[in-house]
Amino acid sequence: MTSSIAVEASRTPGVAAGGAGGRFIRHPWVGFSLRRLGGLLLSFVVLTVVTFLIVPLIPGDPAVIAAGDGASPAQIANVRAELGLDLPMLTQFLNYVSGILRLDMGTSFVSGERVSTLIFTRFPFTAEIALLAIVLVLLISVPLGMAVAILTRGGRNKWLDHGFNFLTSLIYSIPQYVVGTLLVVVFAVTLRWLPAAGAATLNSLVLPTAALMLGPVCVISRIVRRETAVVLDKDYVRTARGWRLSALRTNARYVLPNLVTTTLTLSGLILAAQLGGAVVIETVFAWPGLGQGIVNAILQRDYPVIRGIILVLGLLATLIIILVDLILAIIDPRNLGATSNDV
Amino acid sequence: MKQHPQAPARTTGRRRLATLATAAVVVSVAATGCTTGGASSGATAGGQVSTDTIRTVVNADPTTFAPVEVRNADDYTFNRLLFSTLVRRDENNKIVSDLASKWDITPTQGTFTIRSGATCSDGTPITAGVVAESLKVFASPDSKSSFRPLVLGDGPATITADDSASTVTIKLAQPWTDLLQGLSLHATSIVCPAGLKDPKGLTTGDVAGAFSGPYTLTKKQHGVGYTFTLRSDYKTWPAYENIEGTPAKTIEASVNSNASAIANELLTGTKDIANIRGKDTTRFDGNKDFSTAVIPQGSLYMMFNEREGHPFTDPALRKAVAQALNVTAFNQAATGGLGELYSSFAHPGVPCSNKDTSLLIKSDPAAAQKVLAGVKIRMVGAQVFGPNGAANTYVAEALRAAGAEIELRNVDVATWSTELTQKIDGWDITVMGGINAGGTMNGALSTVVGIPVEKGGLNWGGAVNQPVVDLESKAMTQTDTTERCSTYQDAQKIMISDAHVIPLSSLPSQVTVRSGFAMHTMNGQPDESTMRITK
Repeated sequence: MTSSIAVEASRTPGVAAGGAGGRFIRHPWVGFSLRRLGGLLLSFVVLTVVTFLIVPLIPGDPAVIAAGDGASPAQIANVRAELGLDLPMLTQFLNYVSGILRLDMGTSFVSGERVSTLIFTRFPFTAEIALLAIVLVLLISVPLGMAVAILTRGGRNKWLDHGFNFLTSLIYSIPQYVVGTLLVVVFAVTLRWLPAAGAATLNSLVLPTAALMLGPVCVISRIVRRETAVVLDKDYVRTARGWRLSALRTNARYVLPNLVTTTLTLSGLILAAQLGGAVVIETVFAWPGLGQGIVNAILQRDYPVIRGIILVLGLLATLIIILVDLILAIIDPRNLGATSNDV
Repeated sequence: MKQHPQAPARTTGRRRLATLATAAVVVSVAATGCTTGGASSGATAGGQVSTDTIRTVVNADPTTFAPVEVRNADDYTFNRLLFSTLVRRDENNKIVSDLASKWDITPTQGTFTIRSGATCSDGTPITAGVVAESLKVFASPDSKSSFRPLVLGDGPATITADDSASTVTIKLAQPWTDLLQGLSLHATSIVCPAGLKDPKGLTTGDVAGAFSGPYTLTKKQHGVGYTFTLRSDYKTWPAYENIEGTPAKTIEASVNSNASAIANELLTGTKDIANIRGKDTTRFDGNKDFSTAVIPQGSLYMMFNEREGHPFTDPALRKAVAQALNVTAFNQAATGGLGELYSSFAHPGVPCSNKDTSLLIKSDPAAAQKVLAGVKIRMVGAQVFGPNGAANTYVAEALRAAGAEIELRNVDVATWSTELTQKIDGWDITVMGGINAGGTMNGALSTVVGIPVEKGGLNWGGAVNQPVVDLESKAMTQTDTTERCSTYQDAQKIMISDAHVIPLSSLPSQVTVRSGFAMHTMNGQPDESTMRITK
């Protein structure tokens, strides 16, 4: 256990003597906010420029696709002009940036719908399975990892240790699309307990969420197991045991809180990855989220939609990481002085 | 990892953590409530089917709801539910009435009498004037429709209405006997005045009064699904023969491009009617709970770049390519053997399509080797033809076995169509997948003869082939079906015997229908307005 002096120091990192203005500027939360805001702004600028530049590198002329089968060259030229693809790249870029600054991501080359409308329609579906998956991952992997660590402490229950390692390695090594397909074959096609695809009913959530969470459950539970094993050997845990506190109380009060930093950091990264990585799962389950949206948009060379989705996913990933930093800073103010990479 | 501080900080941290965790769960559950809904009347996992709803699937969101802008199969699906045309094409290419009760056709003119009692979705009567105004948009010189030249020819068209006689007259600048069949196409659908007033709203399907067909669009969720509701005042159904059953009050079309997932949905009872492609079609073989109809999604044939400077201006080389190929092996690679072997570049449902197999150049790899040895060939192929472009790979390997030095690039459809039409000197040979949504011989010929793309035409192959163009023009003056087909047979004979094209196989898809439902395919094309509940 740490001393109270250390606690006091940890609660007010970086605060130095000075006037009210100086105190404000040097307040750890101000520095924290400015660093994160700067990171967000930089991410936004990089994403905007990169998405604009890389999307036209995809082979294939969007005007040919948008004009459709059998379109004459004149019709294709008209479509190209309508889409603004005949303008110089710099003009296109300025139009793109000015649109974004007005919160206007343009209209789809294919459907003519506003990109923001298309993203707002699809985003909740991706958020739904990603959030649900991460909540379930935390609810399953943390107790599981802790339980295995406790039960195998000091070389006990070797069979459990080996079994846990084997199973988590095995499941994690199976590609997500194979897991998804197996779930469909067993629970939808064979047993007919759950829908095979789509998002029409509430129970449609079960299989895609399960497919999405199995891999992260394996990874996080292994990390939690390792971290728990380390914490269990710490002096303050031994002391707690010496006080004859119950095992539940010891683990809940002294072990679990020390896993929070690692677990939350990892969960944030995984959630950020889930947003983009749901592409495969959304395809297998015909789940109408952003992942499927970007695949379709790439196939159709729908530049505004591709750019819009990448921009939104990129910013969301950045926001999630900032949110995790924020949570960690609230829980343990010593993190206020840390950069994202330190955590 | 940081060690956790002593008790007071832990307590505060845990409380905060608990609050955040609760918030996360609440957000998750709230998000769940936002998107997925409860089971709809026609969509239960257990396979129960409501009596007034048909649940179907489209592969992608429609690119447009405006008839003149329709481009792909999913656009056609929506179009058939929402709009009426003047006529329809029944089985065996018989033209039957839709909005027009009768018609009088010459090579240069058509006069159509409009049925009484037809109304728009906002109640506006569909008069001759309403029909004419809609057709004028389609016929306009700056029409956005790529179907315009297939229906009206390249010249101007004059459209007039006589409301007192309820007739609409279309006068053409050149003989064009495809006019009547052309007016059954999706692109010629009649748009009601409310839709013509708001073209943008029409494109996005947001004009409730624009529709002239049996259904209205009552819900649309991009990437998710669309709901159509039967109009209670709609009485003027197309005069198809042999349509049985009751039209569904509601049609729910979800968006799903994954053939395996669609097949799963059919087999698990969450969908009633769907069009599926590839190996998943075989999952319904022998299943008595489903009826199936195989239709040609496209016609596969070899197409050559016959522009000056390319090797395949030489007819001997083209014929050698035909000799190098085994169409049965090609069909196996392209469709897993599910396709139908073709004797024309137009599918058998197209009027006047060649049925004479003696026109086809027979496989003779030994003879091909004598001609193709050492010939350098650049091939561009679309990956959609067979798994990962297996059709293209087969052709490339057959030519390589015949001694040709072949460079194959398997690319996605977007890149393929761009390369063939924009980079005309970058390829020599390709497997073509002709869709021919118009279902006419002229439509099938348009990508291989006539004005090349670089000069404003539709011909991807580049050679004008004047003798065939002349035969096409002659056919457009002939109203007698036998004479017309004889002319088109001569045209096909030139195209096939001289190996301007090498017919291969169909690219099949399968309309799969659960017992208790029905949908008709007419001449190889599905018509979603014929979806019915039969039990």
